[in-house]
Amino acid sequence: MPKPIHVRVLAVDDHPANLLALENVFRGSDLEIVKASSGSEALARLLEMEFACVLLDVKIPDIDGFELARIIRGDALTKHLPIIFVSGQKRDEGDIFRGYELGAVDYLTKPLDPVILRSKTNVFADLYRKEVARRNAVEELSKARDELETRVKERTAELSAQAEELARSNTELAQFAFISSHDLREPLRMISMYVQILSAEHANEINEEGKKCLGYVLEGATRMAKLIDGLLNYSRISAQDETAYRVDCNQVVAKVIETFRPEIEKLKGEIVVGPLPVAFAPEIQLYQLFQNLIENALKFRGDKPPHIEIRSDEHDCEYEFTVSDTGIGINPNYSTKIFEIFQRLHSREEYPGTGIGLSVCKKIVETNGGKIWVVSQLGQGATFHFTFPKRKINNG
Amino acid sequence: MGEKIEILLVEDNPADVFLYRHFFPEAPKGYRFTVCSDGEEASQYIQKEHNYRERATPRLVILDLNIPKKNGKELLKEIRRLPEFEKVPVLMVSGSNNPQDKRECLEFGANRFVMKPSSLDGMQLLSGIVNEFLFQTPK
Repeated sequence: MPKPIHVRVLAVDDHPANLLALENVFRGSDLEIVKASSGSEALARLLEMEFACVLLDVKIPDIDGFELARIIRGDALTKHLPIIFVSGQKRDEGDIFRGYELGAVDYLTKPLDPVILRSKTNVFADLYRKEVARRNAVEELSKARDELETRVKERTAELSAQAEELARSNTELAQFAFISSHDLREPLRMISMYVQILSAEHANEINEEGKKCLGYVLEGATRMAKLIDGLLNYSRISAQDETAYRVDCNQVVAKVIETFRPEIEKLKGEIVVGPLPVAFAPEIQLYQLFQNLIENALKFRGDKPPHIEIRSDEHDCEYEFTVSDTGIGINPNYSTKIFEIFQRLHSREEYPGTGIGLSVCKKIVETNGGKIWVVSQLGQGATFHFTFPKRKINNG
Repeated sequence: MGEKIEILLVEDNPADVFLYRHFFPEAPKGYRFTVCSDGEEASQYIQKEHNYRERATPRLVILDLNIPKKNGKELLKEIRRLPEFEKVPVLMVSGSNNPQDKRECLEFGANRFVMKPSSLDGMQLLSGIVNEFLFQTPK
């Protein structure tokens, strides 16, 4: 609720009786009559407070009423203050015109009719209330706007601090993964080397069961080496240290397919590649992405010779690629899970692997501002979709 | 024949040292390793200090990138500052295949940068590289 606006009216007259009479006219209303018995006193009040209007006697000592009106009009603070002249004299046309000329809004002559005076004054009181209410509203609005601005600024600062923190911890994590995988590799190398030396050079001294055990040691070490390589690879994918180039996907895919050529021929399979666009992404990442998806399609081909199609579609802001196969398919329940690191859906005996490949694909696509998903039904092949923005994303 | 082939091996991991000795035996070709297990000892070797005052110029240096006290890159630069080592090939080995390490080592004067082998096949490849340095007639 806005608080009621207090309205003051300045009454200037050198006769105390007149001032008293004026006061009586407004008794009972919510207007406050501030009295001044001279021009200089009136000016003093005008400096002190704000008024809805002035009831000004034409004949006052020291400063003449017309002169006071001129002063009021000339001051920036009071130039819009409505002035009602009150004259004790008989109506004198000259004075009236002079009054209007000086900006008076009205010219009343005594004896004053209280009803007329009240209603005229009330018009200005209402105007004043509206003006003050408008001013308050503007002030409120600008306060609210300032507050909002401050809050937006605070929130922006908070968010950017959070983003910075996140970027820092991501970098740390990547470094940690890199260093730890690097250090893990060393002892593993020793295990592999010495097991191989044992198997190769001390075969005569080891019985069959011992050789089996050594075989498992080597198998474990080899698997772990693959996991470490995969992790290292995963931790290296980042947007900061790779520069995105315009890369012709047709060329990248052709190169990848070339490496699978012997396997494809052996399996009597085929890969169909539609025309592909030029994408904004590091070539090495695009290569890895297609390599992992094609490798998966070949691996999970099922009993039939593999048939793989790689196509692309152009949308407003992005390209959508699809890699479809005719293999064993994926239960839709797992369609998001398969992109998690180390997530595998089959036993190692059925399909060997580290469970890192698709998580690498996801990281590559998302690092470059795209999305990846799979559409599949068990036994009906799988179609991997992924998008790349047409323009390089801005990493700040 | 009969002359020993002196090789400086800078390597702190005994299991790795064992591998080198195992795959490069004294007989029949006559490989002879002097092993320094940290950067400071290796520095004494190349500067002919302390125990190494009488040493001969090695035919090859095999230098591990990560060794205690002084790292492989510093040692490599030290080697390349000495006129005595001007024609001695340096083979840098590392547990990881970091492109930046590789670039820097080649820049500082290493003749080759390879990953430490983790299989018998890998060891064969390393033998090939070592023998190429030792027995190829200079062009």
